[in-house]
Amino acid sequence: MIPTAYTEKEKNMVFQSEMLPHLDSMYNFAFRLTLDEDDAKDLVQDTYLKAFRFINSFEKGTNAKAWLFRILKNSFINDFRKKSKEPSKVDYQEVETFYNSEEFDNEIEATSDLRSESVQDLIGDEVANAINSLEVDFRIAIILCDIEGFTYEEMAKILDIPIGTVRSRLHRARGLLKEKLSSYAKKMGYLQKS
Amino acid sequence: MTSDKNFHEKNEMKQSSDPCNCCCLDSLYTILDGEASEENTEELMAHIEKCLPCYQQYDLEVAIRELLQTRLAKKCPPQDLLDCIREKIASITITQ
Repeated sequence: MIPTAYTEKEKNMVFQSEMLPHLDSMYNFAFRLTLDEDDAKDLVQDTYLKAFRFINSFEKGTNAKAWLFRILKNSFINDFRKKSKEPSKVDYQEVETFYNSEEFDNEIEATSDLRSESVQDLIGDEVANAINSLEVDFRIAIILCDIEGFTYEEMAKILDIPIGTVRSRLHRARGLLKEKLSSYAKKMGYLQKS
Repeated sequence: MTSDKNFHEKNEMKQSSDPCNCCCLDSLYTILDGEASEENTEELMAHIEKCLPCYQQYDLEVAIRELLQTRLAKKCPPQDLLDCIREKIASITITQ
């Protein structure tokens, strides 16, 4: 790819108009990777600084969000994960045990209105817990495809892997997620009665 | 009404519990991900309507996707994040 030679003014304009609007998605992606608000903030800052430094390698008119996600993912894998504290596995196991427990089931069944805020929060937590417990490569695949809506081709570029690997990784990730979430999907009436 | 006909066909097929070997989960994913051609999508959707194992699989995949898209809370970036980024960029620009 031929680098674009932006003037200083153009650099700032491209950064303002094409990069900064993705701040919300970037922060959410960073949080899903680091599982920590402070770490997510640092990772997003690092990513934006790198994006600005290397902005000449961004071709105007191409997908800025995919370009930024690629930098963020690489920063996380190469630099950040090594420095950052590992998320506490014990905490997640405890959470998982609770959500798979009868206590959780009873709590849901005891509430007559499934749309109540507390039950909705529990479902949200359960979904987050299921995603967070996936190994990071699988977690990234689900976030990029099912939450951010990237195409297989964009995912292949973000992850630096062939499209065939994108498909097989998604397949595996979805299988794992299904094991964790299908009983909740049924319980919450997301599945049609057959 | 045609819907009656479809209903009967669907019910007839749904009574069958034979495992489905006619299509794989990957094809289903390409449709749900919007990666399949129009022709393949139509073909597979027509099949799903008539095949219980595929129909259940499809139903489950759609349900899980809905859970992910609607139940995962979006985090708001900290108020000062944008300002921090702008400040750092400004300091880079000045030092260059």
